[in-house]
Amino acid sequence: MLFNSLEFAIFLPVVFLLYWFVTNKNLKLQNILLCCASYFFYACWDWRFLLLLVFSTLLDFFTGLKMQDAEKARSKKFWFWLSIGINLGFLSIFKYYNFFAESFADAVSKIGLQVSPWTLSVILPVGISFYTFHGLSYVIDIYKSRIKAERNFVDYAVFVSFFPLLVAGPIERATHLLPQIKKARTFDYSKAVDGLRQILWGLFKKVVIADNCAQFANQIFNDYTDHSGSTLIMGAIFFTFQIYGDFSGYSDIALGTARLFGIELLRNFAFPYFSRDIAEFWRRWHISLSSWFKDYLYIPLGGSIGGNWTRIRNTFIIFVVSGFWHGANWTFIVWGALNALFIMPSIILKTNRNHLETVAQGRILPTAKEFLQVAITFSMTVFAWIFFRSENIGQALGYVSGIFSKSVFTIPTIRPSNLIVLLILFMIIEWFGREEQFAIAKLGSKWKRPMRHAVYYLIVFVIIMFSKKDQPFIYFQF
Amino acid sequence: MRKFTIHLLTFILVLLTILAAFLLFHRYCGNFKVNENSSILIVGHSHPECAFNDSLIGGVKNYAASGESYFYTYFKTKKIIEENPEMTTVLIEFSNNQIRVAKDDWIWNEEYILNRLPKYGAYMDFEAYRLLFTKNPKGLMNAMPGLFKYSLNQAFGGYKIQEDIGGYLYLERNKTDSLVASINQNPDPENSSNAISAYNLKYLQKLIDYLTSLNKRVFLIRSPLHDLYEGYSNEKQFQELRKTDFSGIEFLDFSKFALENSEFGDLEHLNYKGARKFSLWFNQLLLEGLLEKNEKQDFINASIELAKKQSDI
Repeated sequence: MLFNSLEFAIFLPVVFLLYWFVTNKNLKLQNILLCCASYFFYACWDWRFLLLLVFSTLLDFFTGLKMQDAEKARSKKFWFWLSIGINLGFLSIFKYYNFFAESFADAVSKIGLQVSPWTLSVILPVGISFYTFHGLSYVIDIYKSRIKAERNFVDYAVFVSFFPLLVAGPIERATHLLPQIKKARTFDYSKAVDGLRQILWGLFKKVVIADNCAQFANQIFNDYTDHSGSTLIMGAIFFTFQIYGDFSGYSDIALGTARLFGIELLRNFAFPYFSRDIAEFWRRWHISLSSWFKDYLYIPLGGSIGGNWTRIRNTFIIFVVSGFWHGANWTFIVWGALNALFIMPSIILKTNRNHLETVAQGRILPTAKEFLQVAITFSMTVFAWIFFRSENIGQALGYVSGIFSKSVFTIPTIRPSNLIVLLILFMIIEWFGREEQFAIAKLGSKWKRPMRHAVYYLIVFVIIMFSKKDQPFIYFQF
Repeated sequence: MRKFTIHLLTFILVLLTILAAFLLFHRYCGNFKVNENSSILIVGHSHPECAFNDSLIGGVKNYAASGESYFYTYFKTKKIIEENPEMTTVLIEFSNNQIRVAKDDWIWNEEYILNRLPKYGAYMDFEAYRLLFTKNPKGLMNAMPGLFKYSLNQAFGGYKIQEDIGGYLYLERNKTDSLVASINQNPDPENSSNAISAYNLKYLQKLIDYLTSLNKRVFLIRSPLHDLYEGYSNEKQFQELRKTDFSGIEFLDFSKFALENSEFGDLEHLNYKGARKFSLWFNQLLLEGLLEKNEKQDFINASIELAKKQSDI
């Protein structure tokens, strides 16, 4: 069930009405409803994978309890590693097994040995990377005694499988989400309206920006050898907007939907394309994943303690792992490594925390220096996305070499003027809303209601006019 | 909560009202005016779409479209005729596969609803919507945003519907030889059943009734087909049905028009070479007064024979 589908447009109001009108007096019932609705939502993809989700939930729930109740450290360790092993085992089998098998066969063929890899023909369960990371953070937090194990299975199941975040995040933490699930929730008018507004903006980003950019990005990437350097640049820019519109659009819908149920999810995007350096970009892009890796990988590895060498090593590790998290392909690993390279100067010079506040905070326009910084960072990001989007390293290198050719000085052959105007307008709206949670959070907040609603109607009309058939979200494959 | 529900419902209600207004705009202002001065209209599915190159035939406009059932053709033709009263003659494709029950799927199957409803939904009546809702409610609901999209685009986007409802299709392919070679290996499952379409033919009858009520001349036609076309398997049933259900309408059968394998795209569609040859011949027939003759089919058959002899020489 896609967020941008008719099924979801029916599912959401039904759950919403049951939640606030039927089960509103009883928290237990509300959580049971959320759990059932989430499992139904997930089963709509493929009911067989629901078994995997339930198993993963049961595993972490029980190992959490066992760790909590363990009297000996050895026993606690056993249950911890059992959970980690099984969770990562599932992830490895479904997501990485074929990659490793094929890479191994490739590697040994280089030394003259021929091995035919035994690969699995399995479909990647939707959202496995996301709910596995939920479970991992929960188990690690219990092991490190940061939290106590949850004793109510339904509450824990809602934490893992709450439908807005189930298939593509944000990756939540037990410390943030579980207390909200356990606390009675009251309906808040302004939060619900805010949620609807965020859903609307998320749909705009997905349907209008991402899906329309996808059409041209796919066209250019699929036949990259036939296009001029300037067209290839256009293709990379279209993909840059596609992935932002797609993923941040999804996150906006997820956050807005959760808000309708009185639950605040972690923010996942904070206008990343207005970053002044790569370090700032990574504080603003897929925030829940970056902070997960920081807390559960970077810091345990020693973080920034221990001098430059440790910082460089750890930074490389988390970026490469982060790339690999996205998928079993060398392109993702190179994309991660490229970002690590881009961020390295600021790590070495210790300037990675120079830009903590929003660019041009309190001002309408940026300074020339800020503008230049944003433009350079954006260009580096566009370059890195080429590797992310390419099918393989060969294509990525071919694409890049195509850009750095004489034809880069020609006029692009693919330049959809409607879409370009739309992208410019989109960036202007994003710019003016950059200090808020999402771009239209405060748009027209001081206007009279009819005027404000006219803007919302206009957004709805643009969504309808630019809509294409149900397009899946890119991050569902991760 | 109450305030939120009221505000949300009001918002949705206003939105639906605005969208309905655009739909009405689409219904009454949709432009089906054909620029060319044509008096003959051709409608139907992919067979005439690929066969009649109307740029080679004087006074003819081909608005046939691939995969179009009579259900959608009915609403499309109504609108075209309303806006182009100079069109006095309508040629409706009537071939073997259009009587099969499988063609009812062309009305309500998801793929077809999503493609056709946005274009013709604004002109459809309650009965048509009821049929779609009964047969495929999910498909109908999924197609509604597309209908609104068309309406909005027509109002704001300068969208020209007459450029999107069919027309001669220039087909380049030629896979006839390979199809002939494998003809018995991959039989088309559609031909295994002799069941007759109920809904598709009902709308053909409605279309004929509508056109005759306006005193338009209506002909059923069959475009050229390859001799090995599998659809001929129901020929007897086809002829019986034509004689019983559509006896009052003249049938012009061009199916035996002689063409080489290289002039077919496949066994039921002409490629551009075949379309050129057939269209020039058909144009000559019209110039010779085909539609005014008493024994039209005899005239056609004689012309086909003559063309065959000429090509043999």
